[in-house]
Amino acid sequence: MIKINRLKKNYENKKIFNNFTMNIEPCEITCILGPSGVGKTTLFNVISGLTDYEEGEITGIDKKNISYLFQEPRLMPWLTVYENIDIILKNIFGEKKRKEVINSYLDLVDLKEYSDNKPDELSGGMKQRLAIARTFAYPSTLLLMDEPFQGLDIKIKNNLINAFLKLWERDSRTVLFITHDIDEALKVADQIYIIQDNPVEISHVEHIIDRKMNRDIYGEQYMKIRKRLTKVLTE
Amino acid sequence: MKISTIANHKNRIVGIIIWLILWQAAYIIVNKDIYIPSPVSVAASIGSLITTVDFYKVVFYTTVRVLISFIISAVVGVSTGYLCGISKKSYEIFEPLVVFVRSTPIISIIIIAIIWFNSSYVPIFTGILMCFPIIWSNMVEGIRNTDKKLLEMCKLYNVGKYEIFRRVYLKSSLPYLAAGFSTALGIGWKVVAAAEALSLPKYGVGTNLFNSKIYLKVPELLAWTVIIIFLSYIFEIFMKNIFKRIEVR
Repeated sequence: MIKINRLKKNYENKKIFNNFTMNIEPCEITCILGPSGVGKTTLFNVISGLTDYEEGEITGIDKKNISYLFQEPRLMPWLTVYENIDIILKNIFGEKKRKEVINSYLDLVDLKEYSDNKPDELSGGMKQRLAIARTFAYPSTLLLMDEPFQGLDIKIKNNLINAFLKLWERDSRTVLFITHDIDEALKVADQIYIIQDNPVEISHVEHIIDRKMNRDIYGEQYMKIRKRLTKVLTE
Repeated sequence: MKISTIANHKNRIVGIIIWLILWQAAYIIVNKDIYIPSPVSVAASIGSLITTVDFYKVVFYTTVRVLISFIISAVVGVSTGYLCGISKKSYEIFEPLVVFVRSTPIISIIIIAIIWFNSSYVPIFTGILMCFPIIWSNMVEGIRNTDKKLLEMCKLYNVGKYEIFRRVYLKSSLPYLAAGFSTALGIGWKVVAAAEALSLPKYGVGTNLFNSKIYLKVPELLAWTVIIIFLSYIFEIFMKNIFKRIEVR
């Protein structure tokens, strides 16, 4: 289990986290819902080691075993689809193994036939699919996903969520997923944390036990959860 | 697309013809070959120069000097520029030296070089001091403008330092380097010729420019000038093609 214990983090003299504590279950998808600017991305940057923090303890994470799906795809425009994944695996696998891993993930996100294309030749949804494939291709134990589907139209979003769930079901890694879209959280989460306020506090936790691929998020049970989440978020 | 390319060329050719006509008109008005020789006599002078064996030796030695000074400037400029782009401390150490070199009048550099070196090396030394700051500044600028988000991504995925240099920094700096290399090469030809004209190595375009002036062979002086412009142009096109190929890769 990943434990964040009594985390303190300031940003420009503002206390973002003050004694913030949270536990993340292994091999599950934990969604973090919260208003914009509350500190969700800061939390990810602290967990991944991209940002320092003042006090506290984060245990159960090997910093070298983290994948991060950023809000934007962060692809290198001068590298091909294949090379964009290859560059992060060079230090880990030999050439043969790399080829096998990259091709299998590109296949899962339906981008194998675009291996030799440059990112500029892909649509927005395809770029994000490539970023997802890169995140999964890296042999991490923890996946951080920061609003990966925001700004995409509903059809592309649904396709990407399905691609993501397909990849996740393959090796069930621990996933932390930031979103401010309740539907997105209902589709993918095992647990939903709502974080609010300044400094940040957990104001609500929701557990969902249904299998992810079969969820009817407009069914009665999910409507109840949606109501509860909406109430907490709008209070 | 093809039609517009032809039109562009047409305009250029028409432009050249207009300037040649104006040159001929100036020659007729002044009517003194010693001040303004006619385009025809300059062309004749080029024709007679290129039939001599010495011409090729002269061009060869000057080209070698330009290339040596350019290559040294490129290697030192790119490596130290990279270092200074990623480290503020290195930048603060290098910057005063670069500002000093950039602000020093070229004539002072040439005269100091004449005191220090054999005449053959003066143009190379001067060329390095003139080209290096341009390449260095462009490299620093390129490194500093590298997308921080890509670097963050590389850090997170533990991408090796060499790969980050080659695949991120160098690729991001390519447009800056292309501009820097092109400017440096253009200046390199001018500076090497000027340094040759003052240090007078046995073979050199600058030496021939100086001799033409001494013997008042103005058509020959302009002929060598045209040759320098032509060589500089050819090398610039060559350089642009290399960068185009690198960018495609």
